[in-house]
Amino acid sequence: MTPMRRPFLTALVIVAALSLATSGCKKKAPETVPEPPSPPAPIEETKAPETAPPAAEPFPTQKVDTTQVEQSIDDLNRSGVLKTVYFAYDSNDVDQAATAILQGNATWLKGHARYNVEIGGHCDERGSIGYNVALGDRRANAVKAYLVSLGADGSKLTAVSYGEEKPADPGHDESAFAKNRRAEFTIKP
Amino acid sequence: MRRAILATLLAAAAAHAQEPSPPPGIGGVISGSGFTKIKIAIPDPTADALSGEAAREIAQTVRDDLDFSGYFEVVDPALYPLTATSKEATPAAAWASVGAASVAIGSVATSGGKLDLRAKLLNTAAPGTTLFDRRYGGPQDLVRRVAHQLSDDIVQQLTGQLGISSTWIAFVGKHGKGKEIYMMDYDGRRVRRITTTGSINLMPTWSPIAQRLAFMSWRTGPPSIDVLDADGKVTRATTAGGTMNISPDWSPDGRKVVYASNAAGNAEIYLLDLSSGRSTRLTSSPAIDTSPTFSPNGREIAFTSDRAGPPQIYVMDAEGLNVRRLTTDGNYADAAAWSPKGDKIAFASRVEGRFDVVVLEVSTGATTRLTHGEGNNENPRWSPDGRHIVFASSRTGGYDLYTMRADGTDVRRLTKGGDAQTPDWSHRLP
Repeated sequence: MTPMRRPFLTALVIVAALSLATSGCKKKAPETVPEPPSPPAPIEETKAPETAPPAAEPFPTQKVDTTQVEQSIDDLNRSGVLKTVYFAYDSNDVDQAATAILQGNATWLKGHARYNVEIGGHCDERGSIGYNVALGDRRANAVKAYLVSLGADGSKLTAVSYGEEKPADPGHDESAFAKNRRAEFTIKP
Repeated sequence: MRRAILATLLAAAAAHAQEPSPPPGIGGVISGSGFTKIKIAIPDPTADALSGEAAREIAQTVRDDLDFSGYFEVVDPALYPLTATSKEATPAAAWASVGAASVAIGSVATSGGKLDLRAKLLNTAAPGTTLFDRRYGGPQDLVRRVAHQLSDDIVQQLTGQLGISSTWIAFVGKHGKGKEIYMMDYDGRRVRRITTTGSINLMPTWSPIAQRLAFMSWRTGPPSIDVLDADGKVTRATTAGGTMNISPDWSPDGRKVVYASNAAGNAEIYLLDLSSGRSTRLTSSPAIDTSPTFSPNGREIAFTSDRAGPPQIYVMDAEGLNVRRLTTDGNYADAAAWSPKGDKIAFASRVEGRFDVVVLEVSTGATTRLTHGEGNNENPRWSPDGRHIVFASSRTGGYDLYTMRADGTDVRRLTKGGDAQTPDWSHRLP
């Protein structure tokens, strides 16, 4: 994977820059991120355009700083543009709280369709190791299906179960369990 | 992966005893139930200048093996010196006088880094019969393996049953941020790590016919099935696709792997033919179907499904037909494991938030709880002779591996720390 990363990213940036340059030929440069059609409000929209060069910049002939780009994907993940959703015990139902969060996530995804995103499905430790892997898969896929129903590109979303293997909170009480029953998002380079 | 380790172990296993023709035994004396334990003495073998420590380790290992087997009562070594001053006419009679019906007398020598053990098994009843007289060799650092071979020979000679002292247990343990596959001798000794993925790996399972392990791994991203061979080579199994291929178990002939995959959307059971690389789907339900495991005769597959609510154990024909529910015990059941004879299924059953190991008699459906609410007790697997069960328990806080007799007695702790889970007991070495 790692050797692939640089050229791939470079290509991404060039493609992004090209499309900007092309659209720059028209009278008005459009926003790099189209406005979402409806609320809920986009999350940290101002941060996202870091990955694309400023619209004013011409076709980039000079070397693209890929380190900067990799950094910004890490930044995106760190800043949590895609919010984690939580589940009830032994459930993969996307409840009302999760629905609101996922609508925001779907908006961001639609505006950043170039990113591959992993949806990690996780469980608390109370189930068995084996069944929990399958349950985490069901959670991740329930989230993916909902995002796709909101218009996100399913081909960019990968549901990966981690069962109970990667707890967000290492504790053994109900408050830890509640934090661990989740689907979380990782933007992939 | 550490190629060298498995290869060395296998080489050691191959360096088996040079066996003179076996003398007539007293096999079969304890077949059936309600037997009396055989009283046996295992004095330290005599040793040359280089082998004193090896001699003591061999004797202690054999005593521990025989005690673990449940067939034997090892005569207290404190009594052994009495035989040296005994007025009995023969050595056999002297050993009989301290209560030993059998005694294994040996000598050990070391040269060129190799161990040479000669062991004689005597029946002490007058006139004193030599049951076998064998030589065992192996690298000096594999003294415990040499001892386990002698233990298995003693078990077979005196009980007519095959021993399990030379078997291994594979499991997962925490390593850095991940979980790697480990293995150890059946008695918890000689623990060694056999994967170095830096990732999470779970549920190793031994091929029934070869020194191969299948397990699930996140090393390249989504959970997939890997097969590790004795030479350390890792092969990614060709599965049905999707982003989750988990819980592998071997068919009894070692040619197929049954597993769960989300290739068709949700977790279903598939059967992979290793030679063709083709997978056949066996279940079809909107529920989770996972943790499949072959019956020892290969005709049935037990698995976990939540099609009727909380997860329970089901069984179906190997072709995927004739699905029926097996467990109603507790509110959550997973991790089915058939006994080697196929007459019982052990599984983890959760009641009031804690898992216990339960054994179900297949013909009647009757269940027996083997553990009793000391922490969680999960992932039971049988020893190849069906007399013992290894399982993971959190009874002291973190997870460790334990063994118990198939009736739940004689619980022994195998690991200390390291978060050891999902054990699997190997078949006997070839």
